[in-house]
Amino acid sequence: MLALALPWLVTSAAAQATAPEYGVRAGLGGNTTLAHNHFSYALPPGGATLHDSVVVSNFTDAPLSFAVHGADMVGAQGGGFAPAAEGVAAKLVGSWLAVSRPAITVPPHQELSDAFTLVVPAAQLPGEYLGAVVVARSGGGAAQGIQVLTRAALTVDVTVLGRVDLHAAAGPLTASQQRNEVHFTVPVSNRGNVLFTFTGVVTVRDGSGRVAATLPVTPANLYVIPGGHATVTAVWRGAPWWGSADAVATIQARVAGGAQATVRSDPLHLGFFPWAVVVAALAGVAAALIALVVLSRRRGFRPAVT
Amino acid sequence: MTPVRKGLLAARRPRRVAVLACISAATLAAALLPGHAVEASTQGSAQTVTATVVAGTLTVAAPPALATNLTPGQTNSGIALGSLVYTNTLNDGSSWSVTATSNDWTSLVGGNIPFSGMSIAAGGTINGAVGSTGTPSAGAGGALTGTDTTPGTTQSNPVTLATGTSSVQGVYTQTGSTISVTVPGGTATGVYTGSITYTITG
Repeated sequence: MLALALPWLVTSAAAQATAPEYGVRAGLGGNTTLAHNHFSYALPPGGATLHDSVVVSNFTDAPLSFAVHGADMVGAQGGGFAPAAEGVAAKLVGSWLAVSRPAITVPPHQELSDAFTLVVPAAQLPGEYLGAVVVARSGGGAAQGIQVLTRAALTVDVTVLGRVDLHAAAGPLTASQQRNEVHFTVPVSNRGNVLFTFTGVVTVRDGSGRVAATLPVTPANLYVIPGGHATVTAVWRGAPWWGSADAVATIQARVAGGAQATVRSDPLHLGFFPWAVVVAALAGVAAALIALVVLSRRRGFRPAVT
Repeated sequence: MTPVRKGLLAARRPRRVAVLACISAATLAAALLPGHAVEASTQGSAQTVTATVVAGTLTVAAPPALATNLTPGQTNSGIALGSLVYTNTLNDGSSWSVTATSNDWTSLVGGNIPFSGMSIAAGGTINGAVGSTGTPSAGAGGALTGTDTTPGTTQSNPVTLATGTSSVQGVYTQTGSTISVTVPGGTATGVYTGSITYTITG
């Protein structure tokens, strides 16, 4: 509460902050190889739609409500930066963002993912634009007097491209065998100037050229920023004990609302030979032979007679 | 008797050799067959440890309300804002900021204390919790500015309380921040409401 009063009544009664009540992070935080673990996109103008999400965590014993929205970034007096204030109409990145749930309530000690899309307008000039996904605590302040509100904002860095150069590369494809499973790994690199998402498969052909398996790579729909890379995997279960095969990774890269490209890795030759079984069989045969020799010698033995 | 004994010993020797050969072959086969070797390797006393570092987070916490008395016709300086606790463990390679804004404070009888008469001084004491790496720099603070389109609703432009480089990661408590409020002469006495907003951006 704040009141105007006589000079000798001027006092201050600010309390101390408690432990953090909530936190935010990018939906793919910790799961990408992006150079920046936040929302960093390079996109062409004109209808390019990108899908992502923000995760809001509640560290308290009670439900917490939040307002989630996009905002333009503004410079702050004193050298910092911040998203525009609540209620200020966005004109750039903030207006390109659309959150699927603008008001959320997160249960105690849980987290909630809120998806959003980002669309770059068709007439947007090339350049780098900064904005933010803002998570504002709602209903947390005092009912009267001077409320203190808090917001946590994740930076959204959008580079609008003038010329789109979609250039993806896949490989080298590698594999490791674990019992009768073959685990494939393939890095996917972005050598162009535009962010792309991708899906892909590893196709395995047997020695006669027939398709033995078509394996989707995981995780699917990762996005890769220009200059970045992501590594995906695929598992071939039920690989043969004997024979050979060739594997190729096929990656389909897509620019949101725009170009597509398909790239393939160099083929990887796989050879299968049941070494353990063969060695065990040979050991058994050797043991049988030794036993036969020994027994035949025993049959030929003539004990001495006095 | 001696030759008989020799004959018995000689007859046992090949049987032992055959048995040993079979045992050796079986042991070799068992060791080479997949699966058995894995089981044998778990016989030791070593404990397998799998540790996962979870994704970081961005938080800010502040006292829920400000309560103070103000004197009209002068600048009321040094009003403590309390301690501010914020966290940045995103490790996203980006610099980050903690800022503050305020709107006008208004009363039910029409009184108005504009944010243009307010200024915030950033607290110079910033302590990192155990495990924090580096310390943010206290911001310069400053007077609140901005276009006050809707008095009582419009927030001021932000002022910086602290900034951190990308390598500054952890949980921090900033104390000593204050706000100064100039109350115009003739401002109506009474209870005023408003809001101060803290934002962490990373």
